[in-house]
Amino acid sequence: MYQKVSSITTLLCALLCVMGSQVHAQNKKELKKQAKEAQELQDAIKRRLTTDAAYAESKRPAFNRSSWVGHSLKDLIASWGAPSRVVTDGGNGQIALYENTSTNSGGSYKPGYTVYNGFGQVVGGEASVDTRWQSQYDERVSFFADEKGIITEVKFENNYRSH
Amino acid sequence: MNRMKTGWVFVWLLFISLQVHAQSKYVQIIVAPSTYTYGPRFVASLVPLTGQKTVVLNFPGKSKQELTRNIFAYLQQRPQLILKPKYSNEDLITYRDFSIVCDSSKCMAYLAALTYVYAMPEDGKIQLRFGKGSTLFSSLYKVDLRITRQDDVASIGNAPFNEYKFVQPEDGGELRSNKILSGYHTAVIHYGIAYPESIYDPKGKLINPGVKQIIEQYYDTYITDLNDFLGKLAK
Repeated sequence: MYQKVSSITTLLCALLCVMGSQVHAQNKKELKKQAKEAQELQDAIKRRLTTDAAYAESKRPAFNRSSWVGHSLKDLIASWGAPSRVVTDGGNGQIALYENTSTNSGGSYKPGYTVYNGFGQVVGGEASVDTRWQSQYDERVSFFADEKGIITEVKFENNYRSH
Repeated sequence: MNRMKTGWVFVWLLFISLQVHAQSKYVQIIVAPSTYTYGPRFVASLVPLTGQKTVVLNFPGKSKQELTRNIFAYLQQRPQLILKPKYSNEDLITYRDFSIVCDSSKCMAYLAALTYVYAMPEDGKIQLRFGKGSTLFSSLYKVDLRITRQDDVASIGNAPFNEYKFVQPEDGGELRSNKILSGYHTAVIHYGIAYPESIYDPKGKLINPGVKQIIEQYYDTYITDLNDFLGKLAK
């Protein structure tokens, strides 16, 4: 009788152990899955915030320029300095132009050569290699002001040329 | 018993009326496969429920001049709506609004909209549509957005925000270094999960009917408000 009880107890213990380890494995699997999902969400949000921050920054220059609408040309000049030129708009208003040009260049030129033998025949040489480049970036901000010198519109133009 | 029945009928009627109220009357958001080779496979757009290009409000017996005058009277009563004289002429009145659509408790993100309304009065009717520059903005966190008189939008302190994505972006890969194997591997990132406010998943499946309804109602309000105002003037 005692042996019977003992073997049943052993059996039950073994069963509980197996069940326990299964639950443990399941929990571990579940935790791993949750950790993976949390990491995925973190990665995705990080990426989104980077993109959103870049967008917010890209909107800033246009916002800063057009914030001058409603302000006086005098205040603009006090803040931005003297414009490149001021022209009339054909009526009573004027246009203050801020122009900026930047150029960039690089590369090199390696001249070619030809090798002749004593009979005037070409026996070797190398063609010239020209990797020179130049680029120009023009930027123009035009502030349109009415007859009272109040800015009514801001225009931004830019142009990039490379050759 | 009768009282209970009356109570149920009342609740039912309230439910029905809320449903009717929730339905947009003039516009809806639809999704369709993109015609572009690159970019998202599905694109969403806001279109009139009638399938036409414009929403038509009928005011029988009213002349074009009368309706034009009434639209200007409407704009005077709604100071937040800014008339854009540069984009207006005798056939077209353009005005814009910039306002909050909903917050994260309803839309899972903060949504704001820059909206251009094109109103085209004719004899007996006004055709309306939303201008091309109309943009919905979205941010995961609360940001303070500002707009200039020339309609440029920016956030205070350049806090992250972006244009709202009606359709969640598709999964993408990101090259990462692997310290153990001293090499690189491409990790797949499910970008879509970072856009809980989107209406559609990357495959064009509707996942946020509530947000869809809020946005549709938001745009609908521009039309119903004008219609109601002009309707009262017509009486």
